[in-house]
Amino acid sequence: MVKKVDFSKQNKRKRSVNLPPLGTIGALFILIVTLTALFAPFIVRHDPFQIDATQRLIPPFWLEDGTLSYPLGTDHLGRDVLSRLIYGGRVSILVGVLSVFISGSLGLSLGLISGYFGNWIDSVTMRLVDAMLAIPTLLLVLVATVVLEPSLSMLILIIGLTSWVQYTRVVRGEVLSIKEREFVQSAQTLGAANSYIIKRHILPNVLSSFIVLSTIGIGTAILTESSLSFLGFGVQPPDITWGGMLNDGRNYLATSWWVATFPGLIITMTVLSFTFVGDWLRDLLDPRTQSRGADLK
Amino acid sequence: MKFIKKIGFQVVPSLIILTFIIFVLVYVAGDPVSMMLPESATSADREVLREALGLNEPFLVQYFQYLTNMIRGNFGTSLQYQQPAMSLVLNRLVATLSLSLVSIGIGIVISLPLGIVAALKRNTWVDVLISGFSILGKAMPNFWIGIMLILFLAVRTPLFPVSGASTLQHYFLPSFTLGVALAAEMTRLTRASILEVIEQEYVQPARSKGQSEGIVILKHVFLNALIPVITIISLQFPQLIGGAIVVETVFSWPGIGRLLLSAITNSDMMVIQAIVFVIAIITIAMNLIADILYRVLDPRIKLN
Repeated sequence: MVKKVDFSKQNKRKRSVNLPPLGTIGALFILIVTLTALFAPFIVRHDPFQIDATQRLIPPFWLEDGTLSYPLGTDHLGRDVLSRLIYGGRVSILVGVLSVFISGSLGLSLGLISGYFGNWIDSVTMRLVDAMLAIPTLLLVLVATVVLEPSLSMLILIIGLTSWVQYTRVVRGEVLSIKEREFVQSAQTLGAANSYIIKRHILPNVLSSFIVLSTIGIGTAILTESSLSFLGFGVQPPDITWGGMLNDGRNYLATSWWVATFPGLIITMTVLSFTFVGDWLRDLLDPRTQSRGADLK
Repeated sequence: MKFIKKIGFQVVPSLIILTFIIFVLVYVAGDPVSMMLPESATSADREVLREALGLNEPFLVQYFQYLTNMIRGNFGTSLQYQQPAMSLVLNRLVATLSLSLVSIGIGIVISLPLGIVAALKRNTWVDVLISGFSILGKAMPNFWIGIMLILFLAVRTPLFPVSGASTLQHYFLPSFTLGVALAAEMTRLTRASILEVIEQEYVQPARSKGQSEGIVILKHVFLNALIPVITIISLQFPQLIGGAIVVETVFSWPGIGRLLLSAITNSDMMVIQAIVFVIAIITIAMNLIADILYRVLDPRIKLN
């Protein structure tokens, strides 16, 4: 693996670039997507499920034939793209946050236990990690959908149970170095219980990397969910997903580019926002790296 | 010697765990008998087939039968195609692997120059722009990249064919789609790797000797920075295959990705497990090769 680059040295150099506060922008965007998804019925001007053959494939408002009534146009069934995007945020945010809750707690616990206790527990966990790493997450998720019907809650569970590996790897690595530090050693010498040491001394020290990882992980989970919906194996229609909308729009690229373009744009912006917030949290939680964020991971 | 140890203590146990996970999935997925027999079959017929297939044995016995079959190279028969599942998968694998190789090539061509420039011009606008590309490339869903490429390079200006794999031109759009995503990750790592090497002690004497900056960068920095980048390529392989599953669908590429999706739609478990197995084996093999390369290229690692 690549050794971690010590950025503290670089950052002492004078920086010549001032970036806008990407973390704040990201957080703001996530807030908007979440709030609009939450209060969708009160915000949208059109029923996102309403099929209207007379309003098919209307372009966005700035194009000829576009109308402000359908700001981002309509799809092949005459449904308002903007309203559907707002509703689609519900599945994405829900799956993103809740699946990370599952994968994060699983990965954190396994990482803490295998890193702290070592021995055979660690060997078994690491072999399991190797096995999981040898299969692409998307493949694993796809295979699991054969066995479990892909409802919303199943999807959360499947994505959660298949993407814990990176948390375990990072947490375990940090635990390995923390447990050699004096304050842990002395607690052990004083006879503190293992559970106490893990809770009071180890956990607080891995928590900041874990929070950063989880934030970025929400974006990754949203990407997985979108890919799945795009392929038709995610949450099924009539429920609205960004990936599903993109798939709908694929067949109308020649005449109506907007149907496939906007869902992809909003997926990208959402994932990007979670990355920005994650990087911002990294700087915030780690006093050693007062970096300018974004590119320094 | 170290490798035999590694294979014995790491690769084999991982493979056993892996086959176990696959087996549990197949086991839970349910009864292949109902899919193999017509609706009109009697329950006695079903029972005969169940017995013949060994489905009445206890769970662990079935697992060991499954393992021995695998070792013998028997991966069962595809319900959909009535062909041996593994030969079906291997036939399609060529298309996926060639697509992946071209994508890796494109990824390298994009990311190495960008990563080097970003590192040399660090903390300038150039660096910020390149890092921006790298973050953006990771955030964009690859099916969207593919569709946007179709929109601009096939629909608006018909430069490249959109579906199929018959000519070299067919490679462009799908491999570029996968290559961009790969380049995003590799650019970041190349940059980090170069920055690390630049700080090393052995670079300064080269400069003091009066060698030109270009030679210093090429000879001392670039070649050393390349070592981790090679490992990264192999570590990216599962991701690449995951991407290929989606991208093959977008571009109707006749690889294992599309085979997998049709197998999933038809609950063709034999084909599914053959695919998972093949991908896992390739990934593990690539990790081992990367490990060997890493040691060959960097003599310091041997000492550790």
